[in-house]
Amino acid sequence: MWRIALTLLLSLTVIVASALTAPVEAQPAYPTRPVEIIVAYAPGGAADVAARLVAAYASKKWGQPVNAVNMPGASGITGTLRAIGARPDGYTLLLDPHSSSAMLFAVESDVPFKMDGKTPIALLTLDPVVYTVKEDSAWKSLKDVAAAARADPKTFRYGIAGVAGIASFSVSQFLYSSGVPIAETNRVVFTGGAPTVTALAGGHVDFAGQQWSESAGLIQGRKIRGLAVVHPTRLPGLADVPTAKEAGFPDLDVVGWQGLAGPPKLPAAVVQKWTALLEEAAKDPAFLEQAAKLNKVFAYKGPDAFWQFQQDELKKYLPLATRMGIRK
Amino acid sequence: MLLATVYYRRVRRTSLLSAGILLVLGVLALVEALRLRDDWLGAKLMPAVVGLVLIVLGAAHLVRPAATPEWPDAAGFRRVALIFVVLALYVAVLPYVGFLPATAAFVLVLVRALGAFSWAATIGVTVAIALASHLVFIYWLGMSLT
Amino acid sequence: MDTLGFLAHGFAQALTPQNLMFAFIGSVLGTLVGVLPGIGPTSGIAILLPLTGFLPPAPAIIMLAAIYYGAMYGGSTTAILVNIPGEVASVVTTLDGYQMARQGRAGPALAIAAISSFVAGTLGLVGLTFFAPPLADVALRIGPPEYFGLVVLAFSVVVSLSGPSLVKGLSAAALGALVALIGLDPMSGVRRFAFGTATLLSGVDFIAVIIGLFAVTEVLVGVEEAVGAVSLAPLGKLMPRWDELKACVGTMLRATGVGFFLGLLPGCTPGAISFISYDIEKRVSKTPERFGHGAIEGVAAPEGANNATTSGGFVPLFALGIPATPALAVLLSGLMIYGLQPGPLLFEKQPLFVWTVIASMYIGNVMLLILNLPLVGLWARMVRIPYAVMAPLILIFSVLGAYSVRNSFFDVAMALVFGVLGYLMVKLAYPTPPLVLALILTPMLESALRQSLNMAHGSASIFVTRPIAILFIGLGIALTVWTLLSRRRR
Repeated sequence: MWRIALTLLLSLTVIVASALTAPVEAQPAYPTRPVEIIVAYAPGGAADVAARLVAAYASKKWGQPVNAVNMPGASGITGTLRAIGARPDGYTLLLDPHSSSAMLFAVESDVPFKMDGKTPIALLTLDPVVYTVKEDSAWKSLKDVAAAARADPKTFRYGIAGVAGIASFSVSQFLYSSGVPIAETNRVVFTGGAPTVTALAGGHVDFAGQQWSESAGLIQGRKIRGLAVVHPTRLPGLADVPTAKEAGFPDLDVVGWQGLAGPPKLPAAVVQKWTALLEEAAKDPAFLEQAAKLNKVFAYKGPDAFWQFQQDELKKYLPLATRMGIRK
Repeated sequence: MLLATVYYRRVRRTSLLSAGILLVLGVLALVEALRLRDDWLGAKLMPAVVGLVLIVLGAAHLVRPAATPEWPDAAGFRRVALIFVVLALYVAVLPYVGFLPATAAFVLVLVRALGAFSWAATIGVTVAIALASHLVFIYWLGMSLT
Repeated sequence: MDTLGFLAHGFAQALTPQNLMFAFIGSVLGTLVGVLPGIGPTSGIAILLPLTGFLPPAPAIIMLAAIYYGAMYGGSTTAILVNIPGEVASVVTTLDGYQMARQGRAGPALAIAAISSFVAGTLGLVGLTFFAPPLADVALRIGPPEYFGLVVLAFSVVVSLSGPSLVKGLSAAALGALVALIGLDPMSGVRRFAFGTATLLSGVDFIAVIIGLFAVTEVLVGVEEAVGAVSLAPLGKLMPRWDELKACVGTMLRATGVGFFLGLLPGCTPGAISFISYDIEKRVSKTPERFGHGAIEGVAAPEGANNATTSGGFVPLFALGIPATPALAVLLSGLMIYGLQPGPLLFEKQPLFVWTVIASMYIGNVMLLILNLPLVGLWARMVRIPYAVMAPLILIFSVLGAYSVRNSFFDVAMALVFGVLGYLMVKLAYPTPPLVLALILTPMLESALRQSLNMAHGSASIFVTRPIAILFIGLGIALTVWTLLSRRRR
């Protein structure tokens, strides 16, 4: 047994020695080593795609790897907490989408971090809501859907991805403004955007209101049809889908978005480096084209504008959440 | 009546323990199910179902004959306990002292405890494993453990 | 026929030396990444995606596809050698694969894994090539009630894998179900079993649990029994016997069928599919008692099913733009960056691109076979390494693997907890596969059940008004009853 004790003593010496001889970091220009953007959601989702889009661009421009790192769990809270708790040196950033920000705070009264507990860097992309039905559905316009739902709510089935997700807001807002008795309809909750639109395509639900990036594939594949997009203009690739205003519902304004943020007290130099890069990206046609291919609208807003945007969004969703009874 | 069954069948201690654990977990699940604020067809459904199943199975443990568990001998038990404690310590200190030192220490202790190598071979193996894992995981794959 | 013509074009493109090289590199990288536990195809592709950023589209995609297949294969190697499933789908491989390794038959186990993977993957690709669009439409018709039926079917496997004591098997399953419920309910966002902490909110990660239950437990057991090495049995031949290979032909075909068709369905996890395939083999075998103790079909089935699932998963991916698993979702975003627009129009608008990718998948399968068969000898020798060296290696792998899933030490702690639990389960003769299966199936069961009830305004009549659902549920009940009866007979 004493041999083991001796070994432990030896190991302790090894540990202490190694720790003492660890190199000290220098402080040159940013970035000098790989940057991590934490995505608090599963790979392949709307947030993840936005992060990778920007990360690839930044890597190319700066010559340093910028990697999207996924830390899914607890609807985005886990990853967000990790990013906020990291050292504010600019090497750990957070992909900050609507679901970890305004919408989350509208629904949950008990979030383990504060909305101002991050340093906003920029708004990156918008992911407009597209209201969809199955390709061969009898409903040809949003007005048709509204009429049908009012007439027979008990057989009206709509799918949403997560009770506190974007579709909860988008579809509910639509149903409210159409005078549909929501309590009598059938709300089917799925675990993500992809299963929701898939179920729509298979006819297991009749209506959905997910984000562009989640719906585009099936729309282009002609398995589901877009009835309206919540955006000032029609979206590229969806030329025959009217805007909400054109479809007769100008008050619909639920939009998905993804932004970039960092831990609190992030140095201004880091924020500036990023805003400069993103301003350049906003004017780069190749980049914009790539964003469009990934079904995202690149909609850059600087740090202050982004923060203001988040607050506006919260003001928009808070009463909606309370009224719909999904606020906890 | 349950006590009579327990006494009559001379239920083994381990069965009692397993039954107890299952019953406790089942009750816990039911309590949680009742606590949740959602529809019965919503978030409450599965915890309630699983809770009930656990309780039923826990009771089942008390009424069927159990087999003898094969417990390890003292020496075996000491080995297992030691290795587990060392493992737990390794995981505990890993975020604080860094990968290389912690792993080196860990491997050293393990190789020493499990093997009958000379000191030279032990050190050699330790260095080899620690360096190799560092190269693969930390350097190549870029895992950051802090 | 048009399809064959395009396929030929695709092969011509894919067989250029440059593209072949990338397929090779991708296979190697994928395998290496897959071997590391906790880093499965999803994180593997996510990690290696940036590497492909510097390449033009076609080679990049070829490499990505090769990485994906490679990662699926790599997970099996550690499953067989040291009882660490590289990812979810390899769990079933450990049941018989590890036993074979302990008997000195690691070589044949690895070999049959490679062969079965190749056969099933290739046949699956044939299915993809010729039947993609119509199959995709079939996949769409599987909705929540049908999924529920499938899960009921899969649960019948729990009974089958319970071993001698049904109560113990069901208890293990109930435990697995309970663990699966911890965390945020993905549908309603309600916090369950979190007891106010933020860490438990993300639930207990599946990979951490299986690393604990399989790897850590095995080391604890091995240490207790003071084994000299994973296997001290003399290393037999490296290839399966001829009669074994012949016996596996049926296995591979059945596994391909099951894997491909179930892999088509988005949301049907590969883990569940490999369990089902394993169970089918056990039922059709004339000597089912060999399963769990080193039956070679027990390795051929899940391995074949996995690769067929991979090929099946590409059907909705290409034809509809729907990824069937998270790994495919990452692959999809990678593909879209390179200009692939999935959907039924894909085959019309970008035929050369698609067929090049599909052709390279065929090549990837071949490459993996060529790569891995010679390495079988090398890998197989590893089981004879003294335990004093293997144990620390396995444990380090386990710690890093558990950590790497979500970059969280909580997962490592969970791996340790389940390591102890697994050890106790072994000592008290509780079977572990039911726990794992319940862990996989419970989320699927829950969402399918709740969604179905939501669709029908709360009434359970939906389960008896849809033909496919009735079929699956009926089959599930029938199989469960049959298994129960045959247990009684023994």
